[in-house]
Amino acid sequence: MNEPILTGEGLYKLIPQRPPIVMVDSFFEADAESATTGLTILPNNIFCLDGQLQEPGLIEHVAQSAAAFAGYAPYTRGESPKLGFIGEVKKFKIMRLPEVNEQLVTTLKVLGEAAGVTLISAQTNAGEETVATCQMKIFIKE
Amino acid sequence: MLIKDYYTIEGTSHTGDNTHIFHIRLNPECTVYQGHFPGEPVSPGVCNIQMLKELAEQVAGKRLFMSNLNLCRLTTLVTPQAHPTMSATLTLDEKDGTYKLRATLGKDEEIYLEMKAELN
Repeated sequence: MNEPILTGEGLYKLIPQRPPIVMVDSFFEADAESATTGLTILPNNIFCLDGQLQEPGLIEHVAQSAAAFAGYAPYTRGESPKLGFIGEVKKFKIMRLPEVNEQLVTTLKVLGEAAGVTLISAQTNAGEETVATCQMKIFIKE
Repeated sequence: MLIKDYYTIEGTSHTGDNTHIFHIRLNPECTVYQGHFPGEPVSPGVCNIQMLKELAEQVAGKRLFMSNLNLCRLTTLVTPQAHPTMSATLTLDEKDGTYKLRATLGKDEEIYLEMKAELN
């Protein structure tokens, strides 16, 4: 894996979410149709319970990964991130809940785009192991 | 409750075989709104999904793991100011330890969120 393009509070240039609900801490790479993001699960994460990241935390991580991806092109043009909202989540399969201190790496692929709606597929890994896969529709508020 | 003070249950009712209705009030003081979004509070869709999962756990009487969120449509942008109260309607069917959940969140005739999931 290459060094991330942005880390930590650097992600605030790509997403409008702020603590306590920031669920991406690394933006590794992006081209027109795909992106790779990351999150190390800290013990104080708002979605952690009994040492594990709970289901909504995984879903929000993917949603914010998509928001960061949507924010990357405006960022390269010097613009602020736009608000993005989940419109639909489909086939969000969770193999296991990740543990505190594991690093999630999520690969997104754009499946289609129309009228402010982006359809993406995502795969989230912890190490070599896939922990979640899904499809998601994201609306970007202009 | 995973997200502390996100909501309160103001009442419940039970209709038919497996259908449970919960009357919900969102708490605009919940800390999640400090970041979602600063100065523009919007209820995170995933917090509403989590709320429906917790209500399903209450119906099932045990902790559940959501292995598959088959489909979730979020059709209304929910804010604690514009949408302080709402109803959650859940249908939960259990077979061989796997629960199939169908749930909607809304008020009167308007649906804010609908989802289908498998939990175990």
